[in-house]
Amino acid sequence: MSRDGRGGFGAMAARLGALLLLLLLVLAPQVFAPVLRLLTENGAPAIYDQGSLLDLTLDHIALVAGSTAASALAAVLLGILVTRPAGREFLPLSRAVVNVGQVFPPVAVLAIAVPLVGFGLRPTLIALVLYGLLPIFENTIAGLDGVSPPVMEAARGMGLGPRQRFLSVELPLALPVILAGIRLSTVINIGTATIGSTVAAKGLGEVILAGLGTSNTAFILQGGLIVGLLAVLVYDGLGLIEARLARRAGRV
Amino acid sequence: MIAIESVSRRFGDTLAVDDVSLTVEAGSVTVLVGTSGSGKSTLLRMINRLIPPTAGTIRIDGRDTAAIPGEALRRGIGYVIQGYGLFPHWTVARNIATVPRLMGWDAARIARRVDDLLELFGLDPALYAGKFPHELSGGQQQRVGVARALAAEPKLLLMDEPFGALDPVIRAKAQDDLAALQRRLGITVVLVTHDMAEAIRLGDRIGVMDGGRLLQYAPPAELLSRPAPGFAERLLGGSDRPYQLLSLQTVGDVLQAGEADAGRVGGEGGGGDVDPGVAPITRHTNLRDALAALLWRRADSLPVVGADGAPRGRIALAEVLRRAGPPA
Repeated sequence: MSRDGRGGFGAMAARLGALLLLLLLVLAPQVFAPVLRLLTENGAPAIYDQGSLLDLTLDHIALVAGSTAASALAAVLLGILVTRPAGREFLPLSRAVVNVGQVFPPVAVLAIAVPLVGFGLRPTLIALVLYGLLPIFENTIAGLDGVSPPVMEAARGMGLGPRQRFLSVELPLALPVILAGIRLSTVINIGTATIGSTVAAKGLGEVILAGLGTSNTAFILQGGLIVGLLAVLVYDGLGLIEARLARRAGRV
Repeated sequence: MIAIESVSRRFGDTLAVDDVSLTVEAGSVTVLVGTSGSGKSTLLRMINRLIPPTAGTIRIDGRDTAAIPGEALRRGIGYVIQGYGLFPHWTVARNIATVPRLMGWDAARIARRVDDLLELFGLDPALYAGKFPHELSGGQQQRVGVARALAAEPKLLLMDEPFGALDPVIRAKAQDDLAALQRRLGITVVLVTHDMAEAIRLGDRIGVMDGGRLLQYAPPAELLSRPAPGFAERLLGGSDRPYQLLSLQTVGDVLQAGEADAGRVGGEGGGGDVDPGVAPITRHTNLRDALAALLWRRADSLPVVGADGAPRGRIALAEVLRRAGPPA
């Protein structure tokens, strides 16, 4: 991607190509039947037929959006708290907690959460929210601490109060870095969310699991491609927003 | 007027500023000079209470600054730092408007003030108001930093190494511009630097600091001719001292009646005739430049002319040399 965030002709063509492929895979999967049939054995179905791919994709997106929004809210607030003078002493503790969320594999979280909250959406959300905290938390701290000291010194010297310094100087300047953390977390969770299907959360994991269960490579490929394309496109799209913000923040 | 009375500041175990007292006259330029860690920046930042003193009081025009809320105090005092600290996500105009906006000026008045300041600093508003700081050169950023500090028309301007990031040519110009601006606006300036030449060039009074203490506080001529023994003397030491002393005096101080002798090379050294590279000498030329002219033209004396070019007398090399050392 070029630095001006708009990208050249090639980047735009790749972007549109990926989008088109995704839409075809979700809305008109039959188009790929002749190719995918080569991967099936014993006359197994080449196209996933146990539910609507569109519905599963939308469920998947909702799951990721919901969990990342919750991660972002918690991690950004925590990051802001521990970068205030009064909250500095909580930084090591917060960092330890957030790191545990990352180190603990989501599968293990599911195994613990299911007996406590039952099957379905809830254990999956817990696992994803925990897993998504670290990149956002660390980037929030890096973004806020990365605001140049002379700028903060000038803001204080001009007579801006603590709230004004935070809202009109510190936060806008840190925003591109914070958003980079949210982007990273989103993309990780687009992939990770597929494990939710092991505990009966609706999502694209179902397609992959169905393929694994019946040794149907065609299903695995469909599920994997849709998840992969989603991740690439979301990463790219959030990157464009980030570049625009960074330009506004004078960081480019 | 700023009255600093027995002010100290302690950071943990170190005493950054140790019982400093000094008075800054309204409308003057005071330069605090010292090495890093001398406490000069801490002292400056205690004036606008970015750092509150541990002991002592600072009064501005008779009011104890401790009695004024910090933010209100700082909005009334211009503040310029090394690196300028321009807000990178705001345009030049918005940067300059920072304090007027905080003070609730109406939009039209702010816009007028921003345009006036940009013009004052030689930046065409049509061209520069909408630019972002990273689109400016170092010298332009420095000017915007000073313009921002002056936006709400403060009577006092604090500057912490304001020229430190500029290359020598632009720095000299920026120093001259500041001196001219200060005279024109009649504001009080307190400036911190580690550069003694800058201090001598700009200061009406110079405070020499070391280890948190104010070692000497005197006009530049007095500092040069009678530096306090020890650190102040070392800080001033070096081969430049006679020239710096000369730079503080003007031809008017040593003007003699009569005609100049012929220069050894150029005959009558009239104005710029002999060497066009050297400007004519007037009463206001400083003795350092006059000495340069005398040496360059290999003359024992040169004519001094008025603004109209008519002769006013002469300046003798021997007399200039007598002024280059401390009074006997």
